[in-house]
Amino acid sequence: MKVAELMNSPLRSVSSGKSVLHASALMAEHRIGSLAVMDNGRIVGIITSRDVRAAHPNRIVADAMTPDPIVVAADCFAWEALSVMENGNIERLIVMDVGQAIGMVTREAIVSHLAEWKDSMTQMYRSPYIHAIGEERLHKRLPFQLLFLDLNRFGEVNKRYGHPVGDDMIRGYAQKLKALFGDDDYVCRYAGDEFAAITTRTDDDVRKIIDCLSNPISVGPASLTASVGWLNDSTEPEFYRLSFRELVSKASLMSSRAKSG
Amino acid sequence: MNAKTNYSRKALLSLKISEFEMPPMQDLLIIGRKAPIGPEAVRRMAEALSPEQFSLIRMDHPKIEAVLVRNSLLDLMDEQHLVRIVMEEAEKLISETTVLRSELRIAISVQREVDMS
Repeated sequence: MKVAELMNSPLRSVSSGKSVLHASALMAEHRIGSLAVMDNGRIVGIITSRDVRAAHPNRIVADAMTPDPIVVAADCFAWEALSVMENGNIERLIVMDVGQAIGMVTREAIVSHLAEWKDSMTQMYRSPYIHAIGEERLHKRLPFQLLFLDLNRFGEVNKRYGHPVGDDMIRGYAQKLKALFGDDDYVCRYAGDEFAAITTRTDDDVRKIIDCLSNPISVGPASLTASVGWLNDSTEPEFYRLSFRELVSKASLMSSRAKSG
Repeated sequence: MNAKTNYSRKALLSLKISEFEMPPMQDLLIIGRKAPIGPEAVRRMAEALSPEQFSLIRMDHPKIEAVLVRNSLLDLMDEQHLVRIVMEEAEKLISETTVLRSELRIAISVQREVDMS
């Protein structure tokens, strides 16, 4: 899910010397909540309906706008843009493509669309997220480590403690996974009791993570271990020739073999 | 009787002409936070009417957003010192929706004693 798919386009703009009243009329005409402020083809700010309400209508846009807006590339992932917004505590980003401002994306639009990609039980992303990242990295031939985690004997946990407790344990395990991986890693709940991760960590770091996951992790009334399938461009000669879906299948089979072995 | 015969419309024009004072903002403008004209508009106006003769100083004040000052005043007195004096007087008068204009003269009085021996 790229920013370009979620942005408002075409980009509506106003010059900084126009009145706030004029900007307000433009927003009403186009039924939008914000305008880019452009002087001589250069983006100098953003003015929103909130800015308009707070300023005297006779003021010029330059005196009501937020200057120096943050921009984001059109091919940036939605979650990366959201992270920029959360770090800067901002609601809107100008979307750029080849040096041109082509649209504006709001935090509301991103959050609303990303909700479709989120697993409501664990608040982790679901499998389309990891597929989007994996496919992008394969397309750009950027190396990465793919880990596929399958919880061991989770069916027995459900039978012994019941499904509601099993769900709690999945939630607890997801929290521990998030803590184990960092902000630069991508982790998702792939399905049921399976998780997948993409990381650019070194082989040694990945081994440490796998060791940690192979040992019992205490979650609620029981401890859980996982079998992990691990692939990268060193271990899989066809890495960049395979689709991400095929890589996931291979990693999944590796985790199954690790489980039975 | 025809009412139209007594009907007339007249316009009375009154003209007062005086010289346009340059610059109209005199020496200082003190801009309220919600004034109809904001700091950037004031800066652009000053720059258009009297290029390079005024400086805009933004303020961290609940009612006053910025002060426009004639540069020649800043040559005579330290900016912080001048702004502090202006603020002390202006904040008693200004509301956040107004712009105050001020004329400011600085007269320097010097007295020296020299040794005649």
